[in-house]
Amino acid sequence: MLRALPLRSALPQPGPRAEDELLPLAHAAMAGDTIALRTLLTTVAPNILRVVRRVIGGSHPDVEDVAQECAVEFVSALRRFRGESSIRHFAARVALRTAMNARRRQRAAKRNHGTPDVTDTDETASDDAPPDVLVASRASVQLARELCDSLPPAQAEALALHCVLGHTMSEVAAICDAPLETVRSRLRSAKAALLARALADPRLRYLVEEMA
Amino acid sequence: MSHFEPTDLLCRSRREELSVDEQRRLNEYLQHSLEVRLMSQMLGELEKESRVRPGDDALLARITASALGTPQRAPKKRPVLTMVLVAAAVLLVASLASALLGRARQARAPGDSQNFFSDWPWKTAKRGRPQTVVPKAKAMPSQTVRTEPDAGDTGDAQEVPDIQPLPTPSAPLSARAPGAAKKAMSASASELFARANLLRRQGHGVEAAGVYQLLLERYPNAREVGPTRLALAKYLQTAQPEQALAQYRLVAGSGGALRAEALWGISEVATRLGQRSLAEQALADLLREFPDSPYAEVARERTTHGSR
Repeated sequence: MLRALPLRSALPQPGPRAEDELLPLAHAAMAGDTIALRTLLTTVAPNILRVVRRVIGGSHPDVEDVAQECAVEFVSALRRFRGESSIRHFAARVALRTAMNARRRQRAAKRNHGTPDVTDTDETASDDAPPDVLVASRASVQLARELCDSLPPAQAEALALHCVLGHTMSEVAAICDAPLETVRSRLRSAKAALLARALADPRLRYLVEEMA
Repeated sequence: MSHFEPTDLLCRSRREELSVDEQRRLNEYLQHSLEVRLMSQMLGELEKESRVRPGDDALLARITASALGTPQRAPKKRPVLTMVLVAAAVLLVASLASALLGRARQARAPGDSQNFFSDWPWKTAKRGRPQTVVPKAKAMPSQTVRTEPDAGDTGDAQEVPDIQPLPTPSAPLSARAPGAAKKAMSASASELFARANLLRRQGHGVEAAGVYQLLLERYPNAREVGPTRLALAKYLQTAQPEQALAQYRLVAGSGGALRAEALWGISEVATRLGQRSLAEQALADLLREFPDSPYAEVARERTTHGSR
């Protein structure tokens, strides 16, 4: 079955062309081909895992559970895929939404039970940066995650795609299937809120002082 | 247009090389814009958090298996005629299968207890359940756990050095069980590939390597060749790094979706062999051609710091 699918091009081509190679596989998976679905999942699973780690934290104990939830949601959402974006972008969006929902659920549960929030106390290995830089970078990530929890969904999604996952604005527009100007407007509001919080956070004083 | 957004430049700089002018502008933004500086800190930290870690292969296998294990929605309604046709087809397949099984039992010689295919998955696996990837302590690379390889492999193009027998108690397949080897010779490439994967997952590395080699000898142009070379190279990486390097080079040379993994393997083995320039070249190729690969972030870090 897969022999007929053009999975490989003659030369490796990064970027959108390489992403489009997954479309035939996705169509086969949607038609009920389990082998195609397995191959597709094997291909997008690293991206899903990366999104989850960025949204909830790389060392969070629930990374595996949330990533599995994302993968299941991706399989389910595949039936609704209409081809507006590439499969990788579609998977990233599904994973982002699922992971953000999981994060909100966990925070709500922790608030209700009065347990400390471990979501943002992630430790990264082999840090050799000065302590103030480390504190600032961790605080900035924590700020972005908290802001994504509290912003309206459309703004939060745009902020997460741009500032957390590192997509350009035009990519965010393609992923969200929204006009570029709309995305730019959403991001303008979200980034203004992020900057306001950063300026008020003493842990980020290092950044502001370096600018002065 | 989006290239003129300061934060867009930052996003792009994380995965591709900017032009001199773009890099100059980004440096200016980093000096004067709190927004860009803040986002630069965030992305750096997030890249550290989301980089590839030991054990990710097994984790990804579990994630994939769990998604495949979800029950598919049953079709709402089938027309009566379709149902009748399906029932007839099932009956036909069942009768054919029983006839074939009967012939196979008759054909099996008495005392042939070492039948190479006696524990094939279809003999033990439950019907209707998807074939899942079982994580093992020595998991193979994420791409190689696929049981269906990419199409269009062009096969051998270069000479590969002979693979020496590994210093293990088990003899090669042909010496261990001549009957089994004879049967294996008649198996198709996909059957051999599935068999080798199963052996590998069960922890029989030497036997798995033997079947992989057999596949490469018998079917040099099969579509299973690429994933087979990767799996074999991964296995040979410690004991026979030169042979592993040759296999990785063949996969990388054939291009396609497996090239990223092959380049990563080349960098690993070349580092082990002390071929620093080759390792650096492989990492540079990996970064240039596959900036979004899970290996790219580690490769970027290694290239930047010149570590290992």
